[in-house]
Formats: sequence, structure tokens, C-alpha cells
Amino acid sequence: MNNARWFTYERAVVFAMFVFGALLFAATFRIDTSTTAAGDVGPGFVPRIFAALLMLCAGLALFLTKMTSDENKHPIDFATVAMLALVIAYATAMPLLGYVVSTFLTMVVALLIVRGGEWWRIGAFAVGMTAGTWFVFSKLLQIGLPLGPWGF
Amino acid sequence: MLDGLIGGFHHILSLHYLWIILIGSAIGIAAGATPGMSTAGTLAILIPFTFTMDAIGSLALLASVYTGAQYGGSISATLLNTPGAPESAVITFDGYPLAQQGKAGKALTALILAGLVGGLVGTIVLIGAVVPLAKEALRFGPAEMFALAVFGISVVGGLVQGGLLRGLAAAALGLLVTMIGQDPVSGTARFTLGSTSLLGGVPFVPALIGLFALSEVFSLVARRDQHVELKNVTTKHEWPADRAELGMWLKFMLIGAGVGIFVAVHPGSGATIASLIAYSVARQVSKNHKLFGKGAIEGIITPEAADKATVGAAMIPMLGLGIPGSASSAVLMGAFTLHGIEPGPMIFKNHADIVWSLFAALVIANFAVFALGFGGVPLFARVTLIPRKYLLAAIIALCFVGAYANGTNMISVYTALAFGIVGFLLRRGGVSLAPIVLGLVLGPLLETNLRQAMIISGGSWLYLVQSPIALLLYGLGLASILVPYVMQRRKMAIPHPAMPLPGPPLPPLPEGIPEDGE
Repeated sequence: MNNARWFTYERAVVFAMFVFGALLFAATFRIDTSTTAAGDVGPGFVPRIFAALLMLCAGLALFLTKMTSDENKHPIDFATVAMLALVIAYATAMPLLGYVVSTFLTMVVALLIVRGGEWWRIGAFAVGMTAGTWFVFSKLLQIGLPLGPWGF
Repeated sequence: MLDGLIGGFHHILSLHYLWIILIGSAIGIAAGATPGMSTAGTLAILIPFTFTMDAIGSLALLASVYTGAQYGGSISATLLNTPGAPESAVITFDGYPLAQQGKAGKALTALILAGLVGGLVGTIVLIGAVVPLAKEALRFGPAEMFALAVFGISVVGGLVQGGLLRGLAAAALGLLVTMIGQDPVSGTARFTLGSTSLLGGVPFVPALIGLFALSEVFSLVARRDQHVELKNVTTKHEWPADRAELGMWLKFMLIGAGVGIFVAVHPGSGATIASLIAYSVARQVSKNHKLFGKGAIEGIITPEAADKATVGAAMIPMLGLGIPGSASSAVLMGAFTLHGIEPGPMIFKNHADIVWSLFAALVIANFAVFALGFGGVPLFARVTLIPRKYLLAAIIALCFVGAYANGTNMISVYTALAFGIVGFLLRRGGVSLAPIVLGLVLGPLLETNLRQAMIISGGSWLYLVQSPIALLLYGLGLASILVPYVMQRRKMAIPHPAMPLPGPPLPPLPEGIPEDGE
């Protein structure tokens, strides 16, 4: 068996699920059970069962389930990786720069990543989207969105 | 029952709620027609817009969106061969060939009529079935409720794409996530990594926004933009030529509605499976079975009626038992909980007026979609031409602001982000997201009832298997795992997205269909 081809992306995902289950299974042994009522199975019991179930199903799926080979999948290209990085940056920037500035910048960069057209289209969309969502949530729904050091 | 329904209509028949239903239906059709926007994703994005609404208005809006989205996907499937959602994929088999033959008008009329009939039949069955079911479930104790939750998990594991084991693993992942935070009996902190922000658990609505909406952004980018053209297609409606043809249409609408209801009442199934089974049944029943795949009108009427019937039918287990029948109804459950309403047997005791209003809203939403479908097909068809690059940028902003609005804190945003990235990686890994949501819903139900049962019985495990109802539910759960497995092993034909349909092979599905959209 060719190991490089056997360990496909799909198997890697299932393996990651197995590892997540194993980590939480181990963590259940550190849960304090001193305050449980009579007859109760305790706060660590059910998570341990769920973690074991995850390990069991993911472990069996790793070997028994037919997986799609990597050749049949769209590759994760630069645009996808850039988009993933962008949303992480957006979440980081929002409390620092405020909703308005971080959203405007994110809209601009997102459209640049996916080649959103002429600069004026990108700018107009970013302004419209930022202003529209800000108006609906901040003014209509009265939800206090994060503010930047400049007060908006 | 009739008094409740009249009361529901009395609540809903005000200009305020009628506008909400009309707007919700239009949003639903537009979102459903947009390739890449799943019904569950649309609902998740819209939940934050309903924060300041009253419970009836919020649920009426989301129910209308749900109803409209199921129809919208069929417009793009017929006119562009690009289904807006997975449940509409089957419409491309015969809808697009009909459009190519110059019969788009007839196909669109058949779809809108099938949607109305299917939607109304599904809603009527919902109204008739949910009250007795909830009454019966009121007698359930912790042992039966625990068995019910086990049944819910086992069913979803067997019916999702990606195989039984991966479905169950996804459900276990969802269950495990609900263990984060304080435990419900003793208040002990679990898996919080010392953070007080996680003591309340993982926020449900941001998790849904991440799983169903944000992850779609990455999938859209990964699939790349697909240019579609809408040209030389008539959208003028055409009625059946005579009574005989109308009768034939009606027959297949009722067959579709019956199949849709039968499938959707099983927790975790949903519209995609229902529409595929309905297509398969129609092909076997129809005299024109040779036309299937080449432009058979029955090939679109039956799955469309099944698809729309699932809207009401999927709410039967959700409202009666607290177990969602589909991913979309799981998102609706999130909207219920936001307003302090817990779906399940007690809902008719505590919030009967809201539930009856929801039923009335569903009936009206079906007529609203029917009216909008007749008047607005050219407009909704144009919606499908919105470039995906703008769509995905808009989804990012809506996801983040919506998640923030849920708790007005950054934890909600980080939750949506984490679930969005994990959801995207899991989708690419062939893991369906619907069981994760079911796990998120059923985790607390499982744990609370198991521990209550243990405390009541003084730690006796036999208490869990002493009730006949609990035993029946365990048996059904076991069967729901074993039957698909055995049938798959024997290569028996179960109409399921991952399995072959009986008869000649189906035409290939078009690319770019979002997963977990029902």
C-alpha cells in the first residue's frame, strides 16, 4: 500500500477529529468530581463517553470508510488561504480599529483577493456594505458595535 | 386545536406581520436562487436581524425565509442548470432540459404550484401531528428523553453524506462541544482552559453562523467563480393544457408531498434526501419514465412538492420532541432559544400562542411565495447573476456583525470564526456539518436527562431500559444505524445523495452545490 496516497486530505481530517477526541478524553480525567449528588455519574462522565465515541467513530472511519482521493478535490489555492488569513485579521482588528474601519478594510482586501473589478467598484461596495450594516445594527437595532480609538 | 389555529391567524393577520412574511419570503426566494447560499446559512445570517423583534415576528420572518428559499433554489436549477441549494439539485435533471426545449414557462408554473401544494400539505400535517406528539412526549421522564436523544443522534449518523461513521463522528464532535462550560448539575467548569468567558458554554448562534455561513465563503472561494448566463429564456407562466394534465400534476404533487413528509419526520433527514426519493418514486410511477432526465414535468413536480413539504414536516420532531428534523430547523431552534422558548413537549403549555402564530405564518408564507413566484421570477432569476465575489464579501461582513450582535462581545465573533474555519476544513474532508448541529442541540438534552435519571434511580443503570417507550426508541435508533449499513453492504438501492438510485443512472449533478443546505 502506498502510504502517501492512502493518507489523503479526508483521512487527515478524520485523524484530526480522532486526536481532538483523544485530547478531550484525557482532559476528562482532570475534571473535579467532588461536588456530585448521590447516584450522579459526575461532570466528567458524559464528556468522557462523547470523547470515546468520537475516537471510536473517527478511528473506525479512518480505516473502514472509502475516502475521496486528493486528485478529485479542488486544491486550496492562494485565494482561499488569503481569505482565511483575512478573516482572522478581521477578527483581530475589530476590537482594535473598531467595526467601521476594520469592516471597510476587510471588504476592500476581500474584493482585491477575488479580483473584484475596478477600484471605484471595490470602494463603493466597501463603503456601502460598511455603512449599511453599521446603520442597521448600530442605529436600527441599537447594538453597540466595537469602536476604534478615533471614536467610530 | 381549531381555536389555537384561529388564534394564530388572529395574531398574524396584521399589516405588521404580513409585511414581515412578504419580505421574508422575498429574501428567501432571492437567497435560495443564489447559488452558494444554503437555506441554513441564510437563516443563520438572518437570526441577528431578528434580535429586537418580538418572538412571533422573528419566527414568522425566519419561517418565511425558510419557505421561500426552498422554492428559490429551483428557479436557478431550471433556468441556469445551477441549483441554489442541494435540495434543488434534482430539479436540474428535468427542469433545465425543459427550459432548453422552450418550456421554461410551464416548468416554472409547475414548480410554483407544486411548491404551494407541497408546502400546504406539509403544514397541515405539521398542525395535525405535532399536538398529539407533544402531548404524548409530555409523559416522557428522564429515561425516555435520554432514549429520544440517543435515537436522534443515531438517525442523523445514518442518513448524512460522507458515510455512517463520519456522520456519527461529526455528531460526537457536536456533542463534545456542548460539554464546554459549566456542567448543568454541579456547575463544575469543563474544558474552559481557565477562561471565564467559556463558563456559559459555546454560544449556539455564532457557532451556526460560522458553520453554515462563514464556511460557505471559503468554499465559494475554493470553488472559484462560475460565470452563468441567463439569455433567451422565457419566464412567462404557462398553465396545464387541460384537466387531464392538471390532474396528473396534482397526482404527482401529492405523491411528492407524501414522500417529503415521510422522510422529513425522521430527525436528521431533510429536503435533499426527500427530493431524491420523490424523484425516484415519480420515475417508477410515471407512464413517461423514459422522458426522465430529458424533460419530464413529473420529474420536477414531485421533488419540488417533496422539498416544500419538508419545511412543515421537519418541524414536527423539532416542536413536538425538541429534535430538529433538518439543519435548517436546527437553525430555527436557535431562533426559538434566543427568545427564551425551548422547542419540545412543553412548548404548547408555555408558548402555545407563539406556536399557533408560527403555523399561521407558515400557511401565509406559502401563499406569499406562490404570489411572488408568479410575479417575480424574472427578477429573482436576475439575482442569480450577482457576482459571487460581492456575495462572499457581503457574507463575511454579515457573519461578523451578526455574531457580534449575538452577545455584544468578541467571544461570539471568535466562535463564529473558529466554527467557520473548522466547518470549511470538515466539508473539504467529506464530513457533513448537519450532524454537528444536531450534536450541539442534543448534547445538553442527553446529559441532563442521563444525570437526572441516575439521581432519581440512585445510580441504577437499569432505570434507563425499564420503560417500553425507551426500549422502542433504542430499538429504532439501532435499526436506523444498522439498516442503512446492511443495505449499503448489499448494494440495495436507497435513494440517498451518496447512494445510487434505482433504475437507469441519473444525469450528473452540476458543480458548485453547497452542502448541508436543507
